[in-house]
Amino acid sequence: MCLAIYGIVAVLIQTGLLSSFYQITLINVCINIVLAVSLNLIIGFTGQFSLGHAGFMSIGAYATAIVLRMMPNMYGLLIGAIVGMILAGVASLAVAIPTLRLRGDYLAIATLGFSEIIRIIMVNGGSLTNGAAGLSGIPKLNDWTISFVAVVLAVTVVANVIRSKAGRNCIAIRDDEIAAEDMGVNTTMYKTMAFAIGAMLAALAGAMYASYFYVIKPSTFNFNASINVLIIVVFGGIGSITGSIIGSLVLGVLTTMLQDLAYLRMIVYAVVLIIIMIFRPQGLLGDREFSMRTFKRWMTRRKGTAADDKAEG
Amino acid sequence: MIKLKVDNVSKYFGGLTAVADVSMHVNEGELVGLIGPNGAGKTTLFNLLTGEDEPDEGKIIYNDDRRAYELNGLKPYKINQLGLARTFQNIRLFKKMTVMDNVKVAAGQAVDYNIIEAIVRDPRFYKQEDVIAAKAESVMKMMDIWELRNELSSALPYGQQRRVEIARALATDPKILLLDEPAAGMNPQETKDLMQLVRQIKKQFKVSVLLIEHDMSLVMNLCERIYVLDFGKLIAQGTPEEIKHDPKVISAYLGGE
Repeated sequence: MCLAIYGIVAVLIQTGLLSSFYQITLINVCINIVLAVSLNLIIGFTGQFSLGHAGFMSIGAYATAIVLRMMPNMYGLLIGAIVGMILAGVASLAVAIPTLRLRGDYLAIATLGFSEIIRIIMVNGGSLTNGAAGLSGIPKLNDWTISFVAVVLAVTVVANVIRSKAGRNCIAIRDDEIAAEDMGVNTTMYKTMAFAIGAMLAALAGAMYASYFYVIKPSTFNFNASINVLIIVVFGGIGSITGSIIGSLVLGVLTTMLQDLAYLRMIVYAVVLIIIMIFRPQGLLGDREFSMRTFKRWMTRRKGTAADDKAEG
Repeated sequence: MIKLKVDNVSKYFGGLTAVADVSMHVNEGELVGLIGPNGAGKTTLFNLLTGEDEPDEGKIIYNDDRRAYELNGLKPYKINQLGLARTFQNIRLFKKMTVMDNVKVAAGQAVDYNIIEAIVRDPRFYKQEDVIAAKAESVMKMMDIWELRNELSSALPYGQQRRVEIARALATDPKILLLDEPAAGMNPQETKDLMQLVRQIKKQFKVSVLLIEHDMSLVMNLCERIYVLDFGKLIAQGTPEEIKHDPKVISAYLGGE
């Protein structure tokens, strides 16, 4: 199914049916999927409320941009992304070890503070980060193929972590940290692990961003950026990977569709969010996953009831 | 052989003495009861044993087959890995997980594979996951909750949640099982079944059991030895028969003159 989606979109782009305007939306959706899925690992599955995702993303973006300046080719992009992910991983450990003993709101504030620190570092980074103006002229190497691979990579990593011992431990921590620790789960270690994996994937999203939009500046990765990712996660369903994917898609398409409405755009966007939160406070998918199997079961059940109705009629 | 030894342990919360100079022990394969009026410090003592709190004074010693460990200051997960597992007075299951996954969390701790193996799904991952599943299955069948494996744990009735909690504790392969009011909220028939079950667990899993309980008939019938706490102090210990006739116990429970 993955290949089918990839193929169809690739053909659409080749034949020019998908204009470059919509391609921007497409890449944006891909970046948001990587961000949302990785944040969902931290918030939705491990229950650690982090508001620092944009900070980790910016580490990836800057690392990629700086490496690409030295070697403006595909190897540069690959090396930049890897360097960014490693740096983000190290940074996440530095944040996690003192802050993960905090809970709920306190952790949110601490991670928020951290991402602001990163932003200030970028602003004051001298010639390396070029201050508030940011870095520009980054070669545009990212395209649909690369973005798609990145999305598949991120989703696979998170899905495989969730469906393993580590994932069960994370969910156990979310549901009851004291009980988890008493059942032999090293809670500090697993929280840190989830945090680090999430941060590294956020850096990957940063690399995708830097190599597509030519320009990065510190203000791109501010508090609002973290909140936007949080909105997608909550909208799609906290604790649902497919929810995050669908959330990114729906909100991405919605933003594009509302582009013409100018000022009204944010209002309509907000209204849609409010409506969803009223009628589905658990998000679009809640904590369930969407799979072809459940879809088929749902279809056969509907067919079944239809057949029953006929038989009775 | 003494498996667990509590040596002159005290715990203070501000000015309140929750546990005062308590000494006790649990022998291998023994069923020991811990009773006392509400607020006597029973659960606090459990928390000290499992590492959620640290004693202010005294020592807690756990004896493995090979050596003795001091439990003071160890993290709860370490203590669990050494061989102590507990249930909770107010059930603490992983609510949004299935019964199966609840038990698998506990069963998984002894099984080792790293995160990279999980991400790339290497053969060792599948092999180790099978080991976890098999272990969870055997514990769940023994506890008679196998049929409930795909239910969400929070959707179960109270008595079954208690069973799941005990199964989860057993899946960590404990040497000592600590049960905090296992019969709370159960009707007389369920309590009877529970007694049977505890005896069976003790035999089959070769564990020592330390249990807190308010239900006197359960404690008197089940336990080989009983400790009585009141206001944090140990006021009596002995066989059920001795405890029944101990004047201090009677006055603690019924009020002195």
